[in-house]
Amino acid sequence: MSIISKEKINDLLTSKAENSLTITPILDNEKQIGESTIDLRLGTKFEVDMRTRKPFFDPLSDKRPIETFFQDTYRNFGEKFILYPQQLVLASTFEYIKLPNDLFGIVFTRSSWNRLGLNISSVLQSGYAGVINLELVNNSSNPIALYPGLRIVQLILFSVDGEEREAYYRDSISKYVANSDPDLSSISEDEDLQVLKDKFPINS
Amino acid sequence: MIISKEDYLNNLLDSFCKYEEKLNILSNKAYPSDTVKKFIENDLKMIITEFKEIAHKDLNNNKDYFSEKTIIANYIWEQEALQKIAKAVANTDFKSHPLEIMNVFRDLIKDIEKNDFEILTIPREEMNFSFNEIWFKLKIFLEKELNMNDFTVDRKFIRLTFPKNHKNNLLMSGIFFHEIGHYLVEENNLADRIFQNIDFSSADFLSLKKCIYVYNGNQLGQVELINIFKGSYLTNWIKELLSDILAVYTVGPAFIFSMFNLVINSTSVNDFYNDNLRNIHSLSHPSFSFRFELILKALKELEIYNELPKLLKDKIKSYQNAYANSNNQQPNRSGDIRINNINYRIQESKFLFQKLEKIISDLIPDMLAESERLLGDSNIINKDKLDQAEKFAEQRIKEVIPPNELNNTAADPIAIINSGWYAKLLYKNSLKKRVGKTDGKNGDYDLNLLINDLMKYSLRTSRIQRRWQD
Repeated sequence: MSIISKEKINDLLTSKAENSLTITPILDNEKQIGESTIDLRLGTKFEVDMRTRKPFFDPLSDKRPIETFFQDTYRNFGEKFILYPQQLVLASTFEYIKLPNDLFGIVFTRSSWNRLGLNISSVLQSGYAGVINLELVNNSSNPIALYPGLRIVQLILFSVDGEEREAYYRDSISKYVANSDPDLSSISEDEDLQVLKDKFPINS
Repeated sequence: MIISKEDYLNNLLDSFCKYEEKLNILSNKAYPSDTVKKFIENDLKMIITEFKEIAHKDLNNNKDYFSEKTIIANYIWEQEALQKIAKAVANTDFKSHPLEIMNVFRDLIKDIEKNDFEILTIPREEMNFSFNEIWFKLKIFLEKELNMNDFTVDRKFIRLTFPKNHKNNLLMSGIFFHEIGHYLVEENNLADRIFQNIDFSSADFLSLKKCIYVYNGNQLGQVELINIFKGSYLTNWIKELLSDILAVYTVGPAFIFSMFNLVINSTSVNDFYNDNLRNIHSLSHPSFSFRFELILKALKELEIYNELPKLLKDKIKSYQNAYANSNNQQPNRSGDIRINNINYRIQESKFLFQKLEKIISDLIPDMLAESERLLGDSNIINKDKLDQAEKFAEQRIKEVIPPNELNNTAADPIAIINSGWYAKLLYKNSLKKRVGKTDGKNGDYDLNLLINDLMKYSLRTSRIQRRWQD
């Protein structure tokens, strides 16, 4: 397993090979592609969590779907989005990524945002296709103004050794297929929940 | 009269006050656009205040008749022009508008009209797409007739309705381009201009007399005949056909595929078994087969029809044949039309429709030329945009990549919309296989969802990329 360098990233991005790397659109190649990282921008759509009458999310209960705890909103480039302390907001990268089957990626917050109290980290499986979901939580005690279009996270790509595997989006366990907007949790579809329901019923 | 002038004016004042109350409620709502708020608080309130003053003044004078200003205010009230605006603002759902496609319309209209406007989006439960202006004509009328010149918002308000369930269905967006066509036809008086190009002295036009019955022995000369067909059939048909041409000229094949999708949506099982595609002429619409011929002609006029992939060409041809061979029966109805206080009865027949088709066919070159002139070169679909669409379908959507750019150049929105249809029709099976949706449990639903998501993303990001690179 090795980190993919700038040169290799650019080669992959311009390659015409079928199973290559796609990151689109890259608005400023010079600024976005670093020695071994790719800066990705904040997208324009947000899912904001709301306080509701129902006191908690319950993945085992289908009485109140997760989407009813969130409200979607849109900010164009140039408009601000205020992230309040301890608020959870689901956003996504502006760029759409498709990884070849022999690369996987790690996403983390750019340090300048880290220092304001934003921490994001995520893993991209090989073959992943879609925008990257960003779970934004403001850990500082002051609200932060975020602007779509600002570079917010970095992606590091690693090569995967061993046999070539099926693309992530073809995998039967994949819950997030080719997302183009921030996606809410699909925890309710987790197969283990059914096992819990069947084998460990309440009051048994 | 059992109703006194006082009763009448009191009733009118009551309605105006209720409307004012409604405006107060509307002005307290939050709008993403300051213009909407300003429009309600300044302009609509100014109108209703003025109307109240007019009615109140009339109530206090001792004359038996209404003042001219009251008659005008009452006329506007009866036409529901103000109520329609308030209703549109009240029903507007700014949170759930079809953002991505709306921006395409916004850019298109802005490029054609060079003026600012607001779009009020109204989601509907039923399958209804519409696009029309609701303020500017009233504004001009008020300025002229009541000398109201202090309006603060000098822009159009376009009311856009769309079926809630199809908010994100860009594959159906071709229908919108027909509706935008209607808007452009209305705003530019295109249908009236084309109507004037009819040879009213021709034997074909004069022969339409045979289809008209005049009550009470009134006269039916050329002037009456022109007025009758200006108010029915011909002008309506011209409007529909111009809207079709404008849709084909802007979005090309995507309009045809969207339209046929809508047809599938509205075809009953009974009609399906009887090979009975609805193909009838009516007062408002020419038959689909007639429309399809013109649509095909427009595609050929653009020199893009022959460039389409064979499968798409065959599809379009098959739609045309299906209509031409439909078992649909034309119900020949008759109906009254009132022109200058005289009633005329129009009897539909094969003869009438043949003559109307003949008259309209002579106008087609004018319609095509007017549409081309109105849209301007940059807004007319061409071979390059379709080549882009074909590449996007094959190199992008088929590979589960959005068609937002090619070689770091932002994609054209019309190419994006067409690429969705190209992908759906040309690569359906391989695309389904790629995303592991081959079990068919949801039919084409998952496929449509995926294509629409990729198109939506592309429309959004390509617009930003274009501005970034400008």
